[in-house]
Amino acid sequence: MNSVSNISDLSIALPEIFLSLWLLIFIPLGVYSGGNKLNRQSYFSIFSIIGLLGTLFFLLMGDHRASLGFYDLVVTDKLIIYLKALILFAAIIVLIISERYRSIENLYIFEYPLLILFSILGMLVMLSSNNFITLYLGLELQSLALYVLAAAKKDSLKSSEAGLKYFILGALASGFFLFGVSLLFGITGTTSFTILSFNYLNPNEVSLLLIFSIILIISSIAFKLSIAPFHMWTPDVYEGAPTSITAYFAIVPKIAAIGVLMRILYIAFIDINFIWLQLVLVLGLLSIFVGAFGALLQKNIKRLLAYSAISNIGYIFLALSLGNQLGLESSLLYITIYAISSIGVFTFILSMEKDNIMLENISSYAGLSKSNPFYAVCLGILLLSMAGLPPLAGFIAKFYVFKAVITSGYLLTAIIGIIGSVISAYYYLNIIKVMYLDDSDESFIVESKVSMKIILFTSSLFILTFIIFADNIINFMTYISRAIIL
Amino acid sequence: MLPVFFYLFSIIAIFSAIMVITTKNPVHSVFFLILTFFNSTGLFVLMGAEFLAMLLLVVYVGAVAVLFLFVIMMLNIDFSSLRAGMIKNAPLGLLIGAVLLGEIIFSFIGMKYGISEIPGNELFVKLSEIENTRALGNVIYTDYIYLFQCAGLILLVAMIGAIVLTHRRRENVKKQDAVKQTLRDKSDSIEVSKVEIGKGV
Repeated sequence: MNSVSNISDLSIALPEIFLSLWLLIFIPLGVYSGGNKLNRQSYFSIFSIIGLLGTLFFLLMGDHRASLGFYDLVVTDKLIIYLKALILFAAIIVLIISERYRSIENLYIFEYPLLILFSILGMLVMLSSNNFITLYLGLELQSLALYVLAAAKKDSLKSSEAGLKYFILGALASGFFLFGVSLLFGITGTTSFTILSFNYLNPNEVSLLLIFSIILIISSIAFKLSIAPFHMWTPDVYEGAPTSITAYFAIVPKIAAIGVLMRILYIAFIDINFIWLQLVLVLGLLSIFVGAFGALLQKNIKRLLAYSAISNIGYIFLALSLGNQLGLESSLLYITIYAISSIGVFTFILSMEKDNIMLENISSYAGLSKSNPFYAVCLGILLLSMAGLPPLAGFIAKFYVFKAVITSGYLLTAIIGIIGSVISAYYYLNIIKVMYLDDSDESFIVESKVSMKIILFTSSLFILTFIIFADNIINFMTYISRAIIL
Repeated sequence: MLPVFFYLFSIIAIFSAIMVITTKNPVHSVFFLILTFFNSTGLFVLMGAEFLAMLLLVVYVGAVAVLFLFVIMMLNIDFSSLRAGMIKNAPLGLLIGAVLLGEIIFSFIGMKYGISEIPGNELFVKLSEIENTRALGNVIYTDYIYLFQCAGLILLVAMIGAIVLTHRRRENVKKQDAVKQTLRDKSDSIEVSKVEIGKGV
């Protein structure tokens, strides 16, 4: 009973341990070295980027084999390592692109990168959880930091509203999650994913209570992923939160929650998949349509991207609802491409600024193709990819999802999903129309940092040329998704 | 011997719980609430749950009840207006009370007793073997060290978040800076200038 964790246990959680120690150094450093001064902000950003790079280093240098640690509370395998690396990479990019926005909007607080780092730590804990308790603690660590970040712009009413809305609904979702987990514990006597997967859940004896608890757990994760019908908070929070935080919300926590959902569905509840298959399928289709129709009339680009995120995560749900290897692979491919194209789109939005005012209305992008052709071309590529135009990356991602759906024998589902995809193409193309065909009275030249230009260029180049190395990436996804399918 | 203390603690607990909702003065209410907590602590000690007992004392009496007292004294709420709807709301209150009572009764009827009925009962520590503070300490710092540290980080984030959201750096606040005061000297505080007659400075 009194044995301490051994060294191999510590090496499993080395990235998390490193990041938390880095955070503990960060706090006194921020407090005692002028954390709220304008000229110090870039130092803190660099400091946190170095922390994330260090975490990435320990993650990639560590053991890649599947193993359990800390009395089976923590797990690691290739899939987890891939998703963690994606999260760290995306977070570094978001920190870089939010620099300029923070100086425009006077967000001179060192807690901004600090809280981002805390939420990253929460996501890492979430992803490597092998137990519902670990998952819950990771989820709360992540969410608490995100609530505060949403309300970070203290002088803005909308930002405070966004923070409060997110907090109240998020607390409700956490309550659902705990209720579901406590029911599950009452039924089976365990909260460990691996123990649950070893026939603790007998497919022949499924009680109503078990179905209820699984629905509660899935809906709380669906809330975090802003899946319809739990999407109500998304447009308001995306609009109200500072834009750089919106970028962060739209990209990074989604990857973590998808990874967690994969682990819950494909490891803990795989024996009783007939309970959740249809549930996840319906949630996926519903979000595709809610996202497609909700975005049609949006004037604000942040609200539009909120609906776009809803429908994009819907496709991932569609793929996950297949319950097989193909679904897992295609959802991994989809989340990767979604993350990279969202990085591009948000880099564009964060560069759009005229006289120190951020341009958030779609109509203000009129005539952009003449005044700023570079930005117009990059955003055009990214949006065409999101609309699913071949041969761009977004098309390949959607193609693989629908191919997996059809191969698994759900032709009708695939047709409905494709209809949703066609509807959502309208509003992506509408932005391109505004940029290329509409005239504007006043033109402006976007002056942005070189780093942002490079990020925008690289992400659109990746989306454009994805088809050349698509085979390698898909093989890689197959390789890592084998970690989870037993 | 034990039943005497059990009845003593329970009777005082029930009596003071009734007094919490019937007494006129809200400050007295809070004091009766504290008395209720103390007696519940006694009941926990009788059951051998000394850790829970101390937790109740520290958290509820030490923090929550004192917080209530602060709120009552700070906010200056007009309690007579709150009591005005007492008769009107009584049926609703009784209904909710009846539903809760019914739930308790039904769950007692449906409950299966005995340690073998609890799923995962092999996890439980034998009662006589080890006192429960030590048992908790044994698992918190070994088996659940990862979770314990995570919980600590969550509390840290909550603290930082509260500071971020409420702390405002106010401009033009005149603070006393002792170092600055003692370090100032004549040359940078007094300027001697020759004023010509009839011109001013």
